[in-house]
Amino acid sequence: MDITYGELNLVIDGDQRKVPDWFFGLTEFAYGICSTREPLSLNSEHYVISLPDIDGSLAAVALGALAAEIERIEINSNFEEISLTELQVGMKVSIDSGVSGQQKVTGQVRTLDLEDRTPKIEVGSRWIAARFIKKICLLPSEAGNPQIFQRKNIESKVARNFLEHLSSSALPIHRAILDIRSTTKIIEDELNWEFLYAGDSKSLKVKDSVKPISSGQPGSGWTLVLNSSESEDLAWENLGSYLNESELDADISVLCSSSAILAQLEGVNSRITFSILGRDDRQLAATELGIKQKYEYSNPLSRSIDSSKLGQGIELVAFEVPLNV
Amino acid sequence: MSRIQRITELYEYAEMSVQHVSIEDDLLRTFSKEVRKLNIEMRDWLDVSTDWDEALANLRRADWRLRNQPGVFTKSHPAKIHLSQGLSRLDGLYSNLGDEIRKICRGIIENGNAIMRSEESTLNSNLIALLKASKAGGANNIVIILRQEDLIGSCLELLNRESIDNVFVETGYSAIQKKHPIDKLFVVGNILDYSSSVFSCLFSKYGTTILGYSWVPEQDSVGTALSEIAMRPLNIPIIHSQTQEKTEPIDVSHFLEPSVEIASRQLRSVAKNVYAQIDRSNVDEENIQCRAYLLAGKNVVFLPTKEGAIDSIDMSAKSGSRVQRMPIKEIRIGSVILLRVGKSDSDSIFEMANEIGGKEAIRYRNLQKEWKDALKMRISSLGSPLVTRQLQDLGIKNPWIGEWKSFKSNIRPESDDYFRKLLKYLAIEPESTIAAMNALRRLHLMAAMRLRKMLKEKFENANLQTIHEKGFLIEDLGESPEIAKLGAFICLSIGEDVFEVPESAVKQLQKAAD
Repeated sequence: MDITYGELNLVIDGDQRKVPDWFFGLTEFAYGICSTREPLSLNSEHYVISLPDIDGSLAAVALGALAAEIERIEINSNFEEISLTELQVGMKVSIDSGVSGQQKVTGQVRTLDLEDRTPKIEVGSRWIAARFIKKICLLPSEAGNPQIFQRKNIESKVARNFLEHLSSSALPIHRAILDIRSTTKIIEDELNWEFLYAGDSKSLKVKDSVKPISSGQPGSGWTLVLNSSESEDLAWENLGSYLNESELDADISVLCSSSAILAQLEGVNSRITFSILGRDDRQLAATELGIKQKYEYSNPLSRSIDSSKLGQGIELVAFEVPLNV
Repeated sequence: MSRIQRITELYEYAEMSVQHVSIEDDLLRTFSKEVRKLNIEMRDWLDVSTDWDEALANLRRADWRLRNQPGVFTKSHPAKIHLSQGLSRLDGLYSNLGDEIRKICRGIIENGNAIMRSEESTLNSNLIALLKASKAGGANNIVIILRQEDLIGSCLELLNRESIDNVFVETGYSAIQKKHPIDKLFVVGNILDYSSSVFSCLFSKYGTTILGYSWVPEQDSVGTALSEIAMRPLNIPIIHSQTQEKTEPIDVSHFLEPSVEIASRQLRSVAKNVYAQIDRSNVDEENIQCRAYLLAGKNVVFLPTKEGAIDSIDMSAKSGSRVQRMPIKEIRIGSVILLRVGKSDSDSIFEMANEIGGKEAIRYRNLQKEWKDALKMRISSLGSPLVTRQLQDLGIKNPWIGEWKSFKSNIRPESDDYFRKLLKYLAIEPESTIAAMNALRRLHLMAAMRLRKMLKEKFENANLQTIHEKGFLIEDLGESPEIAKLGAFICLSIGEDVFEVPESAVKQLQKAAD
């Protein structure tokens, strides 16, 4: 995916300016780390990003990481249409049925009864007559277990930038892709940051791409677990009714703010963790100490990474620990 | 200035070098160096002579304020008040001492009196000249950073007298929090007297200038606390405006703010008395190296010298973000720290985890005891070095056996792979123990979160006025007697002596004798 903001302007508090280099650099860095990771690695990589000011960093890193993860799923899982004869028990599929394909059923194929006098298949807990099936799409395991297959209209080739692509592709993903832990204030503020083409009236918000599970539409593609570090509760305690344990287990975590890092650093077990701290934070010293202690028990990164995209004034600490599987 | 513009400028100027302007002042240099010499010579006397202690404390405070407190240089300038008190104490104290000491004392009195008579301060004149030059150069939003709150009033008075307006005077901490638009920053004193964040998060168009004196060594670069482990470290160079003196190695600590050192001497005897009362009868208990902290309400606490953190209250923060973690080494005189009254933090978490887990927790604890006892037995029979080497041979890179054997502060090694190898080494079936320790860790996490939530609820909305007035505030944490009470205490003094304190007495409130 081409990670550029192109001619987009960033709009905050009514002030509209070209997306600044530091913001772009953070997005590119996060994208670079996530797009080159080994998906089945048994290490948990930690990237501590120390900034002069924390403002904007959550949005920038989350967008880059999300772009890489969505791209991986798109490349590896093409959501191809298959024919009835290719269908096998155990496959996860989305089926458009009914006279005009208006009924959508998504789930695992349990029974194939195509030799019957009235051929039919069992998907999830529903039987569908073969003659009413209009379209079958194969769902990859990485998509989790969505209840509805939904894909919007704008394709990547016509999207003007990766944000447009992210906000429009809406893959039918029913699992957490990013696990974001931050303060309520930062989350509410930065997910509302907007991007706009000069002269265009319709803006794209960060939250059009980075969609919280709690406010997402069930089944239409949730993209992250949001968790405020102030709530003292872990998101999975509240989301258990929506997603099962494996669907909640995001490969990428973003801890943004000292309070989030102090509260969560020992608890995260993602394959990639971005810990973002502002050097203007009131709890800076304690956070730096906590990170140094974690570093003491860690190993150097076992792969080389490119940190040249990060802007000046940004400090990066990188290490890895064995993943608790 | 808009929000995007402010943040973008921070990054734009982030690696601009810091200018170090070092002032030459022969009179102050001689005085400052003689005070340092006298302090070194009389170090052993300070414990036994209150007069010497007070004389040198005043002279050191005077020396430091002469270099750090811009202000109208009349006899009411705080540096001159300390100087006057120090000189009058010193006069008559030295007559029976050796030639060298007498010579130093006479020099201090002579130069000190000359400073008292002077109406000119080189700190003032240099700062004013730099401010004027910056304004002439186009800087409109200037901030001066001074080390502590009690220096600000006199500086504002000086600026007012000189008719210099549109300049903010702040401590480093408040300048960072207030986020003034800044296009030029001045820092008065030595970098080591400040948090490194002053230099790593306040960036401006015309850069930062630090104003010091030529005989006080200044470092050549500044980074952050993470720079030493960073893959991409922040390293801001310091450009010195004059050649520094290199003729003798100087310990810069002498020239830094002296309050902690002076107060720690006064704490020494109190701490020794409290230490003598601590129960050290349990020979199996590990001793931890600690320093003593004198707290309001005639309390003392021993806190580890090695790195660690403690909960504290930020008295200037808004309700909702007051309770914060603070590294022990960052505790200063005036810091407000939170301590359990009665039981310790780890005791409370331990017991609450057991309560949450019920019968299952008892089973986990037995498994925990089994593998830790096996490790302790292996260490006592083979010795730590051999056990460490054997574990390394098994592929465990960093066997932290000292920490792993501890029952309350550590549940299991971080890595599944290492833990499995360790358990096999101890001849314990790994999978059930690993699963149990994972469950125990979740219980500890939940207990710690509950405790922290209770703590925050109490102190985020506490009446801070009580802490200001009495120096401390004690709150009940829930109804359970196991969780006991929590107190917020102002730190009054920090000792320099290191004590070997039994683990159970560390972070525990101790009562000082009247």
